[in-house]
Amino acid sequence: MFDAALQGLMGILQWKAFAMMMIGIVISSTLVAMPGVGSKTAIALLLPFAFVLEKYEAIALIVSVWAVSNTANSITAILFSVPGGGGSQATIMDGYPMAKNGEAARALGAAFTASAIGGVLGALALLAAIPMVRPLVLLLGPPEFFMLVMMGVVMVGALAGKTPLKGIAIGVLGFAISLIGIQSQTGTPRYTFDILYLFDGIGLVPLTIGLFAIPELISLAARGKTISNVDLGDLSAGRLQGIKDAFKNWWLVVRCSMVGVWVGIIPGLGSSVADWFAYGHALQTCKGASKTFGKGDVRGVIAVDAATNAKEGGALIPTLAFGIPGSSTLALIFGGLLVVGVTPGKEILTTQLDVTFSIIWLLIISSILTSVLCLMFTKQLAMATMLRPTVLVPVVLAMAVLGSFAHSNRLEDVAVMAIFGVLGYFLRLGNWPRPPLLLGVVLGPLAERFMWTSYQIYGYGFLVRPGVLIIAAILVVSLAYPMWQKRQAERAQKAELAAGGES
Amino acid sequence: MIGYLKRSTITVLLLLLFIYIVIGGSGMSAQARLFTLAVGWIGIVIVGVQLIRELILQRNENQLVASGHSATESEEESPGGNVDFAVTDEEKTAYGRMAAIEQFGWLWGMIASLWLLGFYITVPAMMWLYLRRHGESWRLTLLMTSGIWLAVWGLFHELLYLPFPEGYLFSLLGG
Repeated sequence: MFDAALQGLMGILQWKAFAMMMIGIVISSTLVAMPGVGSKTAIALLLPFAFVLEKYEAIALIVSVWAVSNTANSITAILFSVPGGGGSQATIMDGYPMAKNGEAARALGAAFTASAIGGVLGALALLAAIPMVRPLVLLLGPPEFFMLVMMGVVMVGALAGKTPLKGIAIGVLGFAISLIGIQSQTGTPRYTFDILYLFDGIGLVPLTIGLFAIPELISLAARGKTISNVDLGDLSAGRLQGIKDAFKNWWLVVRCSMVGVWVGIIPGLGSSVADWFAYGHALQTCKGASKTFGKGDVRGVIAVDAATNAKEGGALIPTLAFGIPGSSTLALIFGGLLVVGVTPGKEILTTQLDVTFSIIWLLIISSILTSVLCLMFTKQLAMATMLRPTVLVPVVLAMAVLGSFAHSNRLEDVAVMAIFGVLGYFLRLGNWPRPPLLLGVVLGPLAERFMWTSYQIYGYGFLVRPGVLIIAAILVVSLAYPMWQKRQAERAQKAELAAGGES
Repeated sequence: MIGYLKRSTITVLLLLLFIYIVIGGSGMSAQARLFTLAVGWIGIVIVGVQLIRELILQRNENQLVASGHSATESEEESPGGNVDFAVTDEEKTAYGRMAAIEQFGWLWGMIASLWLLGFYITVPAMMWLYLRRHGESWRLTLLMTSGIWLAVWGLFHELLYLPFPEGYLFSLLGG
């Protein structure tokens, strides 16, 4: 294990891999700092370029692009009250009031520092999980893995949007899209309509760019004005105070990081839940929080940023160990790793353990470097939000087209991107969540392989194996419990209102 | 009727798609069929239930409107929250819809131009036209067009060796 850890570290410290990590950090921080672009779009746009790189270089690029997204999200949340992504919504609660109070630099300093510490703690949680998860993974057979894949899609589908059924249906649509092409084991063409291009199936990159980048591009164009209409002001002063604040509240950082790790492990909950859980936890446990939170308390910023970045380490545990990406962003990372020859699941914890360690190292190094860079270039990053959509849109459009083409050097990929752009726009318009679709497409081939192997070994009896039933029970409880809790809270609220009305 | 259509178009299309998947999968070999049919049938059941829910919701809303109450789109919310970006208010306006149509126009126009003229002309031309159409200055337009041309030629062609296809028009002229 120590050898693998060392090998992983050496792999990413090679100059090319390190350069790729730096490129990933800089580009992703800049793209993510613009609301409307987001981490998914940033990863989708950069992913095609990872495919032409060597293993460690590709991993360095893919993981660093993803690892920095939460840190950079805080910039626009604090400065302009515009969440850069799902995880920065709660940052606004105290970050923006701090900015309005003239403490933007302090809030940013605290956010970046807490984010770095949270990222490191999340990576350490992943490291600690490996010895525990390894024997468990080796115990599971194809039926259990099939069920785990289904659980990942169902949970993300159910928790991704406003209506659970819609999310699950879109996840199944993702499975359906993954059917297109030559079936790998039998050579049977499925839904190819004799079109040569479709024999290879639908490419993950053009699909993702279309599904996420195009609708966001439309959203940018529809805004018609700069993202920010607030003056940036002086961002140099107060940073040091913010850094000190994060260290002074170290116990809060640790607690909220653990909240983040816990949320990350559960597929489907994601950043938008981690930030509110951490905020709620801080609100309940910090002294005098009920009076100061929401008015510019630095502890509110620290709690949220530590949790959202720590979540990534936690989310990697089911992704790497069981092959269940807990979010669409992780599904993209998962797809990227598959393309560069790294298979999450048993392999990555046994024969490719060095890769797991390189990912952990990348999480740690990227988290620290991103925070340092963000602290150094806060003003420059924030200036990205002053760009007019009319300047931003053609650049993103050109990148979308070039990125789609670079996937397999075929013009058809660009057309596929455009088709999924239309689909993504209408899904968004109809409140159908898009992340489960991506997850279904990525996990479809795995689910099919596990299902067929299970069927061959056990017949349809694989559906009633103890492991499968246990996972099914966990799935049902995980879905039903939060819904039941919500219903209870609503009933209590109604009863309270009724009692108030009577008195 | 418009309410039903507005709410359920995507649901009905999905239902038809899953029915098609089941019909198409029925004739396949056992191995290719197993997962295909599982996906198709699960899809039909889930989307079918969703469609029934939508029809009931719409009927309830219609009844509310008929009885003089204002209808609100009520859907059961998931406790996980919304991890997808919601449609912004700007997008719902007539201007937002026009902007969406325009962006799709640029996208599909660009694809047609890529096929006809190739990447070296289309990408910088799109940049130029887009910036000028939206009233950006000549200086910025020139700067960004040169930048994107350099990226296409220098980065993608020279460094990454992307084999950009020749435009159809040029292959006709060349042939």
